[in-house]
Amino acid sequence: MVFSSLTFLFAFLTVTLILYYAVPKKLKNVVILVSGLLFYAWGEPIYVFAMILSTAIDYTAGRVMHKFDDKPKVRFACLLISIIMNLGLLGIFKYSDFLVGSINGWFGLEIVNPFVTLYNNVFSKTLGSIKTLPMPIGISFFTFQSMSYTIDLYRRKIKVQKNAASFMAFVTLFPQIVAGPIVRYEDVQNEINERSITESMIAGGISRFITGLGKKVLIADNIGMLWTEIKAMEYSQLSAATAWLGILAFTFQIYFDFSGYSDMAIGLGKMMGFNFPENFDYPYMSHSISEFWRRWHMTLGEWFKSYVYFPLGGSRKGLPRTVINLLIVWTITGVWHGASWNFMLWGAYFGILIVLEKLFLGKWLEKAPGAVSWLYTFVLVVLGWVMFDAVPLGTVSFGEVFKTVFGYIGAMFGANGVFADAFAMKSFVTYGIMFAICIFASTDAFKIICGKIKENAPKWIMYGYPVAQTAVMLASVAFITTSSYHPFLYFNF
Amino acid sequence: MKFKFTPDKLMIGLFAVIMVVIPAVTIALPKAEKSENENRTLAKMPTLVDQKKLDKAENPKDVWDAIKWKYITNREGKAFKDDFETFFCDHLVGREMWVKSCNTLQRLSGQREINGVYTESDRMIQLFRGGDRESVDKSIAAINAFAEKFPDKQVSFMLAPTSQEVYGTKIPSYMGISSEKAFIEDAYKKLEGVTSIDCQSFITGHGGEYIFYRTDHHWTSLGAYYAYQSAAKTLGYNAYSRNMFNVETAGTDFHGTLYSKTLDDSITPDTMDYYHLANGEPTLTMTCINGADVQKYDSLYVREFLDQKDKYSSFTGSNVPIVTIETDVDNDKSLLIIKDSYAHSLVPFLSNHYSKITMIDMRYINTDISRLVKLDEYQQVMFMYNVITFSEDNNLPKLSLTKGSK
Repeated sequence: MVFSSLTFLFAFLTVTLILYYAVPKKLKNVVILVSGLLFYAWGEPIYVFAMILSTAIDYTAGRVMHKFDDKPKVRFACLLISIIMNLGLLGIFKYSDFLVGSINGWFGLEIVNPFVTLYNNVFSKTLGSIKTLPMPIGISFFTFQSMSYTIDLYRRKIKVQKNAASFMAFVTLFPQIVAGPIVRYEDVQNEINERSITESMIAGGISRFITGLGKKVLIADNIGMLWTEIKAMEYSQLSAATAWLGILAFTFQIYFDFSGYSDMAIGLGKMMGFNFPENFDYPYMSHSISEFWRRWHMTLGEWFKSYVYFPLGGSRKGLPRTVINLLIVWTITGVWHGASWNFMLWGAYFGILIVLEKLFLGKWLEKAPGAVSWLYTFVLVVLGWVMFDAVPLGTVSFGEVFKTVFGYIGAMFGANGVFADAFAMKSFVTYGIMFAICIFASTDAFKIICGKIKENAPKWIMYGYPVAQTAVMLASVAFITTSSYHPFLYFNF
Repeated sequence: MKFKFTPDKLMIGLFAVIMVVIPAVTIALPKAEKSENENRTLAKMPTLVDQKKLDKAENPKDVWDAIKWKYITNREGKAFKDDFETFFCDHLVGREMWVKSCNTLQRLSGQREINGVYTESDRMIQLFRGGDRESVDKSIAAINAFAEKFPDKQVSFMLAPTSQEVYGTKIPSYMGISSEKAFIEDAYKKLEGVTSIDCQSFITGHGGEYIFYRTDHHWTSLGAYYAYQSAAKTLGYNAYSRNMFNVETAGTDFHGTLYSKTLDDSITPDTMDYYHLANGEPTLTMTCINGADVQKYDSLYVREFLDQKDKYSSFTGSNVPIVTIETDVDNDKSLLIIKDSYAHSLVPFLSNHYSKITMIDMRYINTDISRLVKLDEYQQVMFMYNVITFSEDNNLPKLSLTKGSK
């Protein structure tokens, strides 16, 4: 279920919240568990069982680890099982098709993915046969979340969760199950057992949720229409201005979409008494690539830092190892975003930039004027988005990915010989206001203004805030509803 | 404890009201079956089980089989969850109000075009972007082939401009619109054995007059009158001058198809006029044939449509495969029109000069037309389309099913 749908807003959320507030404290985790399973099953009626199974294994691994506290080998075995199982799920559902496809491409073979065959053998009669394995929604998020539990338990950083329902509730906590933030068990271990819900938390949560909804529906979806249009054009025909407008539109679309989703999750969590970690901190205001990654999808960065980068030795084993470690972590980060060459390219690109910053660029940037370091960062991030999204889905060969990416970047720098055309003009005029809103909302200016108002303005002004939020909510509903308004005028001709 | 009103309480209260009232009212209200403005049936509540199979079920396995598993788990096509969302959106309380608010916000954010309709000061204009070149060439080839099949008939083609050609000068060129004039000229150049009727220059010459509706994509009766004048020479009649008609105002609150696409209330609704020949109109019978459904009228103006959303259909009725008009004009002239709905407001003028006119709509006919109408009866055949329909329509090639008179 997506947050920006009427089904979620006015059926699922209304009922869930009423039940959640109505039941006694003891039953609240049961409401979370049941609603979470329903929420997930709505989008994944089959794979929900894969998720339940993985959760059961992690829960059991935790219990066994706890029981044999003095047997390091057993504890390690439990950890290994949990990691193999989670990474196995990811490997099968997310990467097996890509891997088989690549091998076929390199060696001119026609191997069929064995997991596809397995799926077809089991389900083809009831559900129809498939050619590629469908990926369970949010698998990259929930596997990482439950792995954080077993790993931290192994490291003795957290206490074991003995209540199966509570553990399941942690995994199926619906606000964050599909797209993060990646809430580690450590983040909520106290709240999952005992939490208080205050009035200011609920109000703050509502307001945060609406902010996120507005970011997604009013900003991301609208600016995204421009990118959709430009992405469908022939890259070799794009004028430089059109190419820039297109990728800038995506730059804002992905930020408002993703951070909007995180805002909604954090807000919903708050309404239910949880404090999820923050996920975005005005990333487009960064002055270096390293800083950008400390402000963008922060929970993922944290995850890779504590579970991959540090175990590899981090920066403690000399410069050559540090460089290698950074490159490994960033390539994996790239591939985490999707099983395709362009994500790997995107990750490695940031890895190289971060290594360069570590070696010498970082010092230069610190001395450079703020405008220069900001421009350097922003332009490189925008070029990164070309690798991320300008490549059509299903582009298998690396050469093709490379050609497409550089075709687009070439267009941005005038390789097609046209600086601006009528389409760029039209896009600029029709999306100009939208771009201005995006730029403003990407900075912390609004936050600062609100802070000033809070300090200086008379108290009654604070009542304006909920009213404004309500307007945003209603406008979002208007946009969601309108996407279903399809005038069929054929018979009217 | 005393109740203290705070901004937090206001936020919670407002949110609770929205979250409870909207779904509750939506559930309570009766569900509309049809959306007049969208001209479509609204979605019905989707079901998870096949009711027929369930009724016949005798054991648990049958019940299991009655569940629509594929429909629930579908990823590529439409699945239950998508249909449920559509159902919800289709029936949300105050649906059109939401759509209007959304479109207003879109306009405020700089979007001038909504669903292919451009709003320019006091009117809406359906944008023409050149259409589908390939299907246009096929349509023209089909017209040429038809003319070749019937060498004994006079075959003509009238391609009407739409309001963009007259009012589009204010639309910035970067909107990517195409010239209808050039499109018409190009199409006429490719005709072989077919006479072209130039109504475009006639109509643009009257650009200052009320010749196109503001909220609908059709021409007004006045626009059609000028087209009637421009066709006089080719079709061989003496057009009556304008002052020989009495103009009846049939309605003043016509919200047309362009309104339906944008729901923009800022544009004044249209006025609809009926033209009656002052010195007596011919007596006539109009027969509208839609399969087995045959309706007869004694006027070309079907007034029952004036009370409905689709008011334009009051001109010779809504689109049906075949409409035949028999008049007491005693000249044995008969005309076959292969057309779109622009012809509907033109025919009332033409009917003063023919003893028989038949309109056929190829969008609803999938067979040899000689099986439906006696082609021998007609000396003249006119193709009549507006630029936008003609540039997108791909039904004319079906004329190849028709056997010629040779």
